[in-house]
Amino acid sequence: MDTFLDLLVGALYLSASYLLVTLGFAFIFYIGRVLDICFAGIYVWTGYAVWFIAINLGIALWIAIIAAIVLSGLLAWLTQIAVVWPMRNRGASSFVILVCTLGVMIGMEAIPSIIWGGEPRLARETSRIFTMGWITVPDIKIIAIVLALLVFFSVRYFLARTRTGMAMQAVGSNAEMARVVGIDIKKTCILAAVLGCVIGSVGAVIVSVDTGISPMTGFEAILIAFVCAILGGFGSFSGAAIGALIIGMVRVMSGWALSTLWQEFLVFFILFSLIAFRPRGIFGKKVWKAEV
Amino acid sequence: MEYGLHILIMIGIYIILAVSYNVLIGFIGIFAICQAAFYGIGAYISALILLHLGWNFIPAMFLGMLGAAVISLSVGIPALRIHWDYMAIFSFAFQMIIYHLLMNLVGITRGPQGIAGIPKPELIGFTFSSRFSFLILTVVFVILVLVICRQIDRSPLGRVFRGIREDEVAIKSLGKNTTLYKVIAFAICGGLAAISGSLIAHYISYISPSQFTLSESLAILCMVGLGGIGNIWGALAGAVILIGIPELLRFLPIPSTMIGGIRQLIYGLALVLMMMFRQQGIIPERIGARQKE
Repeated sequence: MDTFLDLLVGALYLSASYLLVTLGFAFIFYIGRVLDICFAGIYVWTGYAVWFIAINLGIALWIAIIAAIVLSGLLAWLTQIAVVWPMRNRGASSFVILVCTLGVMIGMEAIPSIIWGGEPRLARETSRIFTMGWITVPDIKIIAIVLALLVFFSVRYFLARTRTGMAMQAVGSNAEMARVVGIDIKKTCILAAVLGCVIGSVGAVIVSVDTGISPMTGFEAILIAFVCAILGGFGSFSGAAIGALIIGMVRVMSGWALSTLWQEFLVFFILFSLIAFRPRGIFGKKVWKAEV
Repeated sequence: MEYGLHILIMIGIYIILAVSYNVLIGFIGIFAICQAAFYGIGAYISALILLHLGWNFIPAMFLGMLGAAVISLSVGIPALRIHWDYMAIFSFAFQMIIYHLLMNLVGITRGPQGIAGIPKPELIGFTFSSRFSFLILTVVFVILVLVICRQIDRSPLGRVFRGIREDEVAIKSLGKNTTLYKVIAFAICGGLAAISGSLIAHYISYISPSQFTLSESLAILCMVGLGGIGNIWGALAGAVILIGIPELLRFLPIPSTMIGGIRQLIYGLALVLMMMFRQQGIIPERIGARQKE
């Protein structure tokens, strides 16, 4: 019973952090329709920012977290107006934009590597443990799960009930029509990207506090986001959440049933098989629509 | 002097990787980013054959090339049905799968420990043990790969590749089996990359999965992107620049722990600047050659 609860909490925690990254990625990709890998670089910088402010500067953790998240929003906005939109306006193909943002990610991940090296950096020295009935669990896991649920339901509300959210769905589903109706594509996409990076960065903060941030974490995060997003169905935000839940469970169960070595392999094998045999995923429609 | 030879050998190995990758990404325009996977497959197959079966390095290399070409089918065949945008991520998945297989199949590949003690290549009694002789060997293979790719470039095969890149439907309407051509492109790219794998295995006498990561694939992408997608000499130039410049950094007073990161920064910057301001790369694809036809 203990092991089961442990595994369950572990799986939910993993799903929660995957959910945050996947939702973040979903905002950028489903609405902007461009694979923007800067997300990974911003993710890494956010994680390092939390660590740097909290540990190196010795400022309270919660201030560090808020500062880091604000930083991520800023970086998202910067990369959008300095890199992504100039290229879009020039009519660059989606591959060129992808490769360019890959370059941005490579460069962004290089900088913490140069300054602080490749070892994982932990943003918190000790962690507080909760004991609930049968299980003992670090506080971060519970916080992560609660946060993820909050974020998910906020996103659902935002997309379905607010004007901006509906505009985003419109831009993602059919940008031409959205423009005809009078929606400002550029502003909407940039806002979506900022929102996406901010949500994803919450994931970075959690990683930084829990397991530690290292330069490669960003790219790993985006690959996981991609698996979950594809599994749930491209275009569906709720699908992304379900994908994250499934992958979290799969990861923990495979780690327990097989060895930890094969965990990673299994996730990538799922990604590979999905793209090869059912790129639509679970909730994806044959015609692309960005929807709640 | 020894160090200079070392840089030249590494440049040679990466020229082969970049030029063969250019066939896939430049000629036929398939945006896969998994060259390091083929590189690694070639390295491991030839190393294992040499150590377990004791064959000469040429047949071992050849089998490595064959293995890489066959395994390229696993990413080439699904690729036919995949939308352009997904291709990059799909190839990342393939790359990671190969990496994890190399790491986890410890019984065959010895996992993270890697394979050590790979002997130097031997040919008709002569062993390429000195660095200079190995450089000559490398140059021979570089020339071979350059000739092969140049021939493809100018041949009807190359024209079909470029046609598929520009307008696949038009090529299909001419009766060409584009599926077959895509599979061939993958096989050529993977097979030639395996040559580099075999070379590096012999040169360093040690291989491990950490040499064949996604970062490595991204580095090769940077070389082709910088040098010029679609142009053989561009790919060559990209390899020379991106291997050469970080090596020159060693002469500056920079702590060696930083060199890896700075190299990465240079690669990233090169890619960003090229994609933003000069997509055709340093040496663009020649329009003149096409117009002549």
